[in-house]
Amino acid sequence: MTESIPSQFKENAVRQLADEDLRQALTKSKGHFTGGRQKSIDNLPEFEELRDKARDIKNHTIENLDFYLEAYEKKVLSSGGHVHWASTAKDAQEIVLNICQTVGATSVNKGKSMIGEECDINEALEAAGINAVETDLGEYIIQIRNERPSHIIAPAVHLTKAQVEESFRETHTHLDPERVLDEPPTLLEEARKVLRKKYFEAEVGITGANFLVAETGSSIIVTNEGNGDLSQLLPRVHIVLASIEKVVPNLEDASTLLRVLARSATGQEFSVYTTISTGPRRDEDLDGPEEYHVILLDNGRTSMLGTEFQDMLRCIRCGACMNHCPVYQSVGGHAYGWVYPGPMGAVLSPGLLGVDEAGHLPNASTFCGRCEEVCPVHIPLPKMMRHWREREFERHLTPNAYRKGIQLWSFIALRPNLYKRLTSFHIRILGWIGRRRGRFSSLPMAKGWTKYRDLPAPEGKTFQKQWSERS
Amino acid sequence: MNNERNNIINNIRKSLGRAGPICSEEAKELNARVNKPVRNLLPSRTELPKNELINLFQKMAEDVFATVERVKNTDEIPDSLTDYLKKENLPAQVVMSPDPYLDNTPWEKQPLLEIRKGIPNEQDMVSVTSAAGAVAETGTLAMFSGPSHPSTLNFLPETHVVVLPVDRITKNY
Amino acid sequence: MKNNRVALFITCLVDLFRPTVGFASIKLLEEAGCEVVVPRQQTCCGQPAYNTGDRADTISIAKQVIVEFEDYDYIIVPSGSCAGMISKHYPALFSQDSNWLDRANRLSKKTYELISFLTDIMGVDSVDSEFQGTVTYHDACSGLRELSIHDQPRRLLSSIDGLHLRELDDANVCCGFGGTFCVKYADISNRMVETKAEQVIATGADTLLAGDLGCLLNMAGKLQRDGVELNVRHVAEVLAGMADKPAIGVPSKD
Repeated sequence: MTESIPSQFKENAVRQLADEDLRQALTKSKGHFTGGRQKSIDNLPEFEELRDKARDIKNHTIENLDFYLEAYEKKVLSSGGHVHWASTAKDAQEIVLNICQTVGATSVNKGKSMIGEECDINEALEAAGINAVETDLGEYIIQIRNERPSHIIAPAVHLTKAQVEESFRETHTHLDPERVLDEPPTLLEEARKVLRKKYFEAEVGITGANFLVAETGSSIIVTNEGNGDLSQLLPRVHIVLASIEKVVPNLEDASTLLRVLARSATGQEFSVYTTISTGPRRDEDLDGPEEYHVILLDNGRTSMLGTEFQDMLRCIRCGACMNHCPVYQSVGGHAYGWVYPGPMGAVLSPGLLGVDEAGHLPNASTFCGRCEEVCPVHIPLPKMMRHWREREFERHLTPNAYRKGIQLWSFIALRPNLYKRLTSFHIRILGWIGRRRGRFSSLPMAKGWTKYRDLPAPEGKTFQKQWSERS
Repeated sequence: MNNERNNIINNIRKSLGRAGPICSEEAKELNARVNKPVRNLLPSRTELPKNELINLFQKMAEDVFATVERVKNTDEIPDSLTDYLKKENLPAQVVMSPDPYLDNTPWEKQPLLEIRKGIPNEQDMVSVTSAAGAVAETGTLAMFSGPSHPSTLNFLPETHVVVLPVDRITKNY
Repeated sequence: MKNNRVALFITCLVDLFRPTVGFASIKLLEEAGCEVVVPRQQTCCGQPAYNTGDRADTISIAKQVIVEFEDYDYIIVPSGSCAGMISKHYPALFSQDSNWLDRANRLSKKTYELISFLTDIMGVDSVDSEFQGTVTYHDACSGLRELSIHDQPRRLLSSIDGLHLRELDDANVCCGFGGTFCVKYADISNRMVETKAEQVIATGADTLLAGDLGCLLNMAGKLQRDGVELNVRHVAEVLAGMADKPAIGVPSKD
């Protein structure tokens, strides 16, 4: 696996931009996501109002987060479940391993979980000699390719069908080479066949949660393949890995959030399966897990509370921001170097990893504003990226050349007479040099520009110069 | 782990600028919000007469590739099921739970239909359950887990046949 | 002419690279019945500093703009992003300072992007100019999303005899300029403008228009690097009937 890290965003991006398969895959998925979202919204006149409500629900919950977490915990306990609190990813790993070892687990089924990625659960399990099997088709594909998810809801979106087929043939050696395999339904069927066996072997199932409900002590997952549902249903132990901001007051609130989630994510009216789990199996139940554990992860979130980044905790992980982000669509998710890519990652990653580690991410944006425009809970993503830039600037983390350049420009901009003297002279020279071709194909002071583009030459005298000569 | 719990709760309070738990007055309000949910904004597409609501449910379900067969009464269910299995080239074997609604269905009308009661295993291709409710807004079926409806019936077999009495169709979820 | 004393905030890019846009703006504003003033102590709106996280310098620049422009009836800017900077972002800079916040808010309320000012405030619904050819229009991000500029330029363009507008696929997707982004992340910016250029070419238009010079320089520079013969202009030039001037990055004939 090519390990990429956020601090090498630029290098990662260059590598990703050169990947023709990636370009093909992203071009294909882009219209699917953006078009699907638009269509489902056009079908729901109440969508904008629901977005406002969704934002208000999350804001209300976050402002009373301690209360709702305690209320939620009480309900989980009273339904026979266990609640574990983890300050860090490492703590969460230990809790998971502990539970697995207590029941003597040798195999674990995983439903898709970004918190699982945040905690490197698979690596921790493998290191402890426990076999972890991803059951989501996308996650399964990248697991057999030894890769990381490149998208929070479509983990294998960076791959072409041909690449997926190749990986299947390498791993599933029992496959008849004649068998056509490059359509998603056939791939799903093949994956299911293999996974079905594993479902029954696993002692523990780990899933994430889209929402935790304080009213009932339930965890809610939404899936399209029913994989997460089986992962939590068949093994003897179900572990829910969730971060603390996933809690909502009641099922009615969850319903409102579900109404904006699927539409924003995949353009579906509703996900295929929405499963609400409350506690372990009851005495009279014929199936379901015997143990139900919830791990509540902080991992830096409480330190975002009460700051200009608090709004980020509203995020419901739909992925609309990355589906609509021209930067993400150019470089793909792996360039971001950590669990969360795209605009939401550009705000969240510095919050969880530190701005010195992930400082590139909030800088790699044109502030085009499309992410905020589509966010189902109205997170002002560009504004928060700018806040990160401000923190970097304060801490002198902004690359020195840019810092100096910007400060020089500001120095000039703050002195209008100096500005006019300098520009009327230099622009006239530049215009004169460029008058023949009308543009420059290389300029020593604008290499970043002229590497890929010509620089149109100034017309001649500055506007202000011409204007002052007229009046 | 109690320590971790207190750390996190305390960090939340500190970040939110509160010294301790929410005051009892406010807590009362929040408790009311948790336990007495108020209906939130609902899509108006379901403001329809009963019959239209059934049509909407069917349309929404079919839009996401469910097949829907309408029958007049429980007597018609066994024939409808076997016809479907035949059409889909599926064996006449189904797994079912002891469900009061399904138990009142005259399965004996299709003597060749093999019915196994209980939870499904790897070999089961088709499960049959009833649904506790259905949502016209999205074409979604609602199932409650319990002894008369083990959840594995919903997920494990590749084909899930659901018997839905139309009076269980509601507007919204 | 009462209450129509308009101050033109020329923007540094127009000032330095494309004075024609400034003259076109003045012509359009005067035709709409405004008295146009160009305040002398103007430079830049502060976006480069703001977007780099340099809040202190941004605040100083914003104060300078407020002082120089606050006495006019309207502040008109031939750029969505600079207009958005003044009207949407200046107030946010002074949340801790009520005196300056008031002044920023007052300035914000009377600051408009040129084209939307003409249509929405001055009630202009047609222009008296000619243009022969097929144009396509790119919606620059700030104008579109911060100031809701979408229909206004299209409405005015449709009033021009001989002009045919062909819509651009993904017209609302960023061209990759993004101020310093285009040099800081040149490789990514290139992919974005490359995609944009392909879509522009696919329209078959002979002229590409937009309302923000940054985006225009970026797209013109890319098209020219690739040897594409397509004129790139600020929309105000066409509306003002000044499209006889050489297009962006094209040498003048004399």
